[in-house]
Amino acid sequence: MPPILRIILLMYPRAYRERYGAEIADVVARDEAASGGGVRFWARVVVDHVFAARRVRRRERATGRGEMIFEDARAAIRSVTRARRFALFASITLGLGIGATASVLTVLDRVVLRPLPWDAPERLVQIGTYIMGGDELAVLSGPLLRDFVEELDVVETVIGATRARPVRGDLTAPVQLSAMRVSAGYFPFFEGRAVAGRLLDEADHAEGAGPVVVLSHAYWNEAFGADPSAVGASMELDGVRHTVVGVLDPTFTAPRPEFWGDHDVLMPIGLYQRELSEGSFGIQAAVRLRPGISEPALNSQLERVGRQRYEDEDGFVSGFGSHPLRDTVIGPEVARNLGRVAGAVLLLLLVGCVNVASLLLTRAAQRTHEFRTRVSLGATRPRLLAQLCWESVSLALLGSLFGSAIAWAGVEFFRLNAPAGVPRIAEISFDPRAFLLTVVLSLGTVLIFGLAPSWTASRARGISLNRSRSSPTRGASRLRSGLVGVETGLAAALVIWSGLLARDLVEMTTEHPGFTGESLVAASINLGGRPDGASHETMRDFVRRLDEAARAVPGVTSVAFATELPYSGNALVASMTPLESPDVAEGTFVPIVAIEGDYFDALGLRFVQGVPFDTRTDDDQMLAVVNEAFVEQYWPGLDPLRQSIKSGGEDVDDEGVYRVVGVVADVRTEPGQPAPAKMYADYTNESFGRFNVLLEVGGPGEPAVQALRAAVATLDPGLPLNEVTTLAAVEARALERPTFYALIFSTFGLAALALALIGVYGTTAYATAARHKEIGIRVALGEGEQRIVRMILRRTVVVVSVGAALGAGLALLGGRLASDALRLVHYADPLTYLGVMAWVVGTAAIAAWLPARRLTRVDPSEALRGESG
Amino acid sequence: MTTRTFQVLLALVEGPVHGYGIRQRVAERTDGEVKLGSGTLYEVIHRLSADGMISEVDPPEAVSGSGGPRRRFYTLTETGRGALRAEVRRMERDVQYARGVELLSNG
Repeated sequence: MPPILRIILLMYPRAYRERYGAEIADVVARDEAASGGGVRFWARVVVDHVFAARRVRRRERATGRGEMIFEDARAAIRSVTRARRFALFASITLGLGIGATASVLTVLDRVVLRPLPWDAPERLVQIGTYIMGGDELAVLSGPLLRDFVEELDVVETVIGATRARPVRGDLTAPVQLSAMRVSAGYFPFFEGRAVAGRLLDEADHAEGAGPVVVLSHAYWNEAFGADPSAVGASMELDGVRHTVVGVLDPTFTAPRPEFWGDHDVLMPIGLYQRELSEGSFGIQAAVRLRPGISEPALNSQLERVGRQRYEDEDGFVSGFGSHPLRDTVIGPEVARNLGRVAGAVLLLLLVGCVNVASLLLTRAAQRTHEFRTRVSLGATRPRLLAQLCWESVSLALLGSLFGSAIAWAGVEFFRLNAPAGVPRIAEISFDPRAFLLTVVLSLGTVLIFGLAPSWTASRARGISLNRSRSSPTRGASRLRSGLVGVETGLAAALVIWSGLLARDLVEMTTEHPGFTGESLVAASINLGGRPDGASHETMRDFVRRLDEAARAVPGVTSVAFATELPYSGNALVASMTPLESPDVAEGTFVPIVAIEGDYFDALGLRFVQGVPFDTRTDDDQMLAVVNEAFVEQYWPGLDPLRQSIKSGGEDVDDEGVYRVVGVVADVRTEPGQPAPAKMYADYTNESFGRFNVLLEVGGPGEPAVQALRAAVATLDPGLPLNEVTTLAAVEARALERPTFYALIFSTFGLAALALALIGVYGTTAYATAARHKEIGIRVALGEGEQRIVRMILRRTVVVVSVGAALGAGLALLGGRLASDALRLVHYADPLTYLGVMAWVVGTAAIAAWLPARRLTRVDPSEALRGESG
Repeated sequence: MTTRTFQVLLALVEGPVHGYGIRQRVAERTDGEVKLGSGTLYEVIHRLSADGMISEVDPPEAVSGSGGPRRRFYTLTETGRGALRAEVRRMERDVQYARGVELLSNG
């Protein structure tokens, strides 16, 4: 029998199929032979059978011999579509819980759980140094990388990469590119392929090799219009002509692009080409372990090799070590935050399940009457159960339909709104497995929470048919109250957490960051990449002249220079010795900001003690300003204005002593985080290649930036102006991450609360309907309406209050475990707890009042007539 | 009575036959004008036997034993014959009326 015919026959009831199936097949086979078959033949057959099967089934139903499975499914769909409000609430609840869960689990899976995309990812290990006794793995210097490449034998490959910012000079205006200098083996390590030309090979890394460059696919598109002839062309980078040898595959990924890749161009790191500076730390390095080699074995070898170069354990480099590359890719913070989001979403799912359970329970109670009637009319329990199953399945399907829409939207939301620093987020897409998950989850939920109560209800006996609609039994009503209490509690816990995060965010936004001047325009300049190298004198001279030129720009009211912007986190350190400080070693590394111009004024830094130094005078005095944290750390209890700081340590030649002339209030490097110790010195004394220009502009910023560009161009036509922004934008970016997580938690919290309120509403509506008659009597006996409503509300408020109190306990417990998620607000902040509890109880009271209010309009005579309830 | 039902009953007047035979007789007699689909055919048979218009009979000796699936043979019951006769009479009256108003002579 052709398969299509098999399917056709499935449309008929089984008995019919068994009786006529073979004969029908025979007839169809003869017809096919006679007509030659074909699509048109089969189309006619299908249409004929569809109509015939419909007539057969319809007739069977009419004569009461319907096949049960069809009957039950139809009855179930009818029953669900008839109870429209119930179906809507239940499936929205399911959809919300399941959709949110599926989307968060998708994100968690893709970002955290999925293995790295390279071969044998468990053997990929990041290696590095520990700096000054710290326990965070840091970068290496060039010579150290060379030692590792030459001497490690427990690994298959050692690779290194470092960021560079070459300036491309062969265009109409100089452009600073983002580049990666990579060692030999980098491309095979991350499985990079060339789409045009070739990637770097051993010869490019060898001593005396000509300068070459590989283009990223994006830059090839952008700068060369994806022209294949770009291969072989030349580019001037930092004044040197480089030959383009190839274009990288667009799907190429390196871990943590900000450290490892995803740049305009890639060039050889030149381990053997140029003199690598011993002190220039900035190289990320990773190894592929030989099979069977453990990380401790690697670590001891790193230690042995590294010690040959850096002998002193008390020095700048205090140790050598490694951790799985995976940790670099994902980062502990992202894993922790996403784990918390997953915890919150599971709570939301739980609220959803409890809510569906309470809705189904209420509905089952409402249908006791219906079940009794049907049992009286001869329905068997298996038959009732079958129908209930079908009802659950149709609810679950509706729920997963909503759920997958929400899951899809949720994943898109994450993809588009995730804060910077969440890795692999760009590659995320809605996962069909997530859809399957939603279906399984919603089926499970409905079957577990829906069938049990319905089954109990179906135990009804026919004898009570003549009684009017039953009043709820004590036990069932307690169970429902319990469920409402539980879901309110869970929702309250979620709302409390989101409240804490939101309050924390508000505190962060409103706290004084230690500086003002959000309207300042900032841009960065990098003198370090100049081909002629930049001496202290030329840098100093450049900044002076730019200061003068910028101040001459119309509309510019003040000009400042600083090596670090607030909230930037890019701190520079210099070797300094705060004198007279108890137990500070010579040459401690102190975060330093080198400034010039109107820095203190423009940023509105508040002086706690002393005065600023004037940067524009020509004397050679060495003056410094420190912040409060600095005083706290190095000179506790001493008068800072009598102190001084010796520049350099033992091993640094250029010595001088800074005299502290002022103390400023702390400036945050990150919102809500305590400020580190910091020292401010004149750029004249401490010059660095990279610095920021800050302009205060009377009018719109754009003309001023144009003027600044022009000023820079007159001083050095090959120097680009980068990262033009405003301080307000810098501040907004710093708040991106806390905002995102506060938003997620608030969404979940509010969704959970909405579900809990639906539960309260549904349960109260049912309870009031069931007590219709009793209330009719009370009204008839002259009881006040307000009193009746109060009576109903009291019960809800008690249940919900107990739930909210339990939720607060849960919130406290969870908050203790995750207290580091909060920066400024304590996890047990009483204001948030009380506020949220009051809010939850208040809204629950309203949700209960809405159906209860109807009771006061009860007409006693109608209620007493009994059956209308 | 629908055309399908009528044609199936009429086909059985000539004597017991199986489902496929019913369809062949209908097609021959109407010159292929009435085509019963395989689905429709058995649906009508099923309905008519449920209503007691036709009933299953043992196949004639000559046919049993030939290959292919076992075919059920059907014959008209008294009820079926009566219903068919009534239908034909009604049609006859209609035809006579149509003749009376000279519907056919113009054609």
